[in-house]
Amino acid sequence: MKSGLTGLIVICVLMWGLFTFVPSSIHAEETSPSQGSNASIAHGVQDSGPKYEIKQTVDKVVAQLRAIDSTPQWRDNVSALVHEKFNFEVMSQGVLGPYWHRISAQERERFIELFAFLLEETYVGRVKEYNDQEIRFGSEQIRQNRAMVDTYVAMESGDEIPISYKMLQHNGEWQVYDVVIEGVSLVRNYRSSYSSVLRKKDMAGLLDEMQTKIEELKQRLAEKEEKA
Amino acid sequence: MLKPGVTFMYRCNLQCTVLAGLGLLVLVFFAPPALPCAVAASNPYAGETETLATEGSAAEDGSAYADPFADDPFSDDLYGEESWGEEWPDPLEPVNRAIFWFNDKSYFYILKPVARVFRVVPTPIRSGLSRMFDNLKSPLRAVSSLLQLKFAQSGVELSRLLINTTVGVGGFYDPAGKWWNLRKQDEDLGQVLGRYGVGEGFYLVLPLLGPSTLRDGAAMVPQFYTDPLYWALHRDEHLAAKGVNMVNAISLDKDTYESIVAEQLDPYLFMRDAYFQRRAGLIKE
Repeated sequence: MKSGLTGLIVICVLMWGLFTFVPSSIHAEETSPSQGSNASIAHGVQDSGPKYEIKQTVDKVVAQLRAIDSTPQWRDNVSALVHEKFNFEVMSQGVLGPYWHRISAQERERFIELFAFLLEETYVGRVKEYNDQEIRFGSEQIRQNRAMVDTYVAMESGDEIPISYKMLQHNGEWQVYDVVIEGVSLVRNYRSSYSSVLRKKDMAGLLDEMQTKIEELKQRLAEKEEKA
Repeated sequence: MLKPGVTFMYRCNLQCTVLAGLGLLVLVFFAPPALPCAVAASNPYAGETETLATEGSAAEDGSAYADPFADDPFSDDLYGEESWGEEWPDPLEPVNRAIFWFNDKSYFYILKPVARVFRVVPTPIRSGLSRMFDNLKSPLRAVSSLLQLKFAQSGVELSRLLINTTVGVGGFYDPAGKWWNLRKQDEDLGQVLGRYGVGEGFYLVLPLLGPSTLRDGAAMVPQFYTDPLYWALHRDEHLAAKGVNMVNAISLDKDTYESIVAEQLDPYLFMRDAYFQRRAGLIKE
């Protein structure tokens, strides 16, 4: 009696699994972000457009990071690649929000410079750790002068980490203005923590704190390289 | 080691299928059809894209990039003033920071050194082990999908559970993902609550378990019982298994936490925001 019941449940479950098998595999192919009627979605990489452009940069960065041993100037090369594709001015504007309009031009310039260093360090550090993993390029959505390109980093455990690049077309070129890793927007993240700092200190205080952090980071990097 | 009279695998399979079956029954007999309507009304994140509509405030700046976010439904407003400086609810911040400090020390002085030793185990075995632990969460994901009336997703999870437990040798391999392209559906009971309009409450840092909220923390209590290991093992063994899982996960991780601490002005704030953003994203999906 008891085993009969178990059997019944198992059969029910099996049927359930099989029943939803076909629609579910279709479902897995869909991209979830809400798409407007005029948003175009392209699969496969063409030789122009945001997906093509970010793929070029990511491929070059990965190639550089894989050849660290043979190119001592890899850090400068990667930095140049990142600066070419990431629009740190738009990012800084997003991070500072209303503060952007209250600070002087010099402060803006200095903030962009420091922020670019920190973000570049975060981005390159992460890509470097995972550069032996495969990066899969998903769909691109374009809406007027903005675009979002989905990429996935395959992990050893079999999971994939979704990383999306939000891009902006500026003078005919697509530039990254935000990176969304596993649903967490970096710009929003920085905005949240920097706004907390700004509530207690002024802009000069924030800039000082960033400067100190960068000194620490540089020291840490130097120690790491000495070890290696 | 195991409770008498039952072999480990049998017990696991049985519990998994019984739980999945129970989820099905709950759905058939108890699911109120009107429930999803409540979602939009009370979920604080449901209307986020609308309420954060761009005001065009950046245009006054005269910058070349003025207001690139206007009329974009799939993007949020990064330049608007009203969304700036919003705080996540964290009334227990001093307590949370103390536990964060405790977790930080535990990580650097206990968990990480142990995980480093654990790295002598070859990577394929450690990833297999992590997949096995993850496979045990399939019932939870299936039930959570079902409770949100995501039938296709719960079907995927059930198929994954059945295929990976059998063909995939207890979840050590992932043939469901590799051969059938059945991807893991990240769902849990906290997301179920969130979907039905339960707010996060406030931020909580749990000892050793890390970032959470009142809602997600409360959801962990029933979630505890969906873990097949809870039923298959004695309490101490269950705890030990959890410890192994944690150390194994840290051994596979590539110093994510270290880099956060090195790069962020305030790692606590960074983690808090990342947690809220990620959960909101998962619930919206």
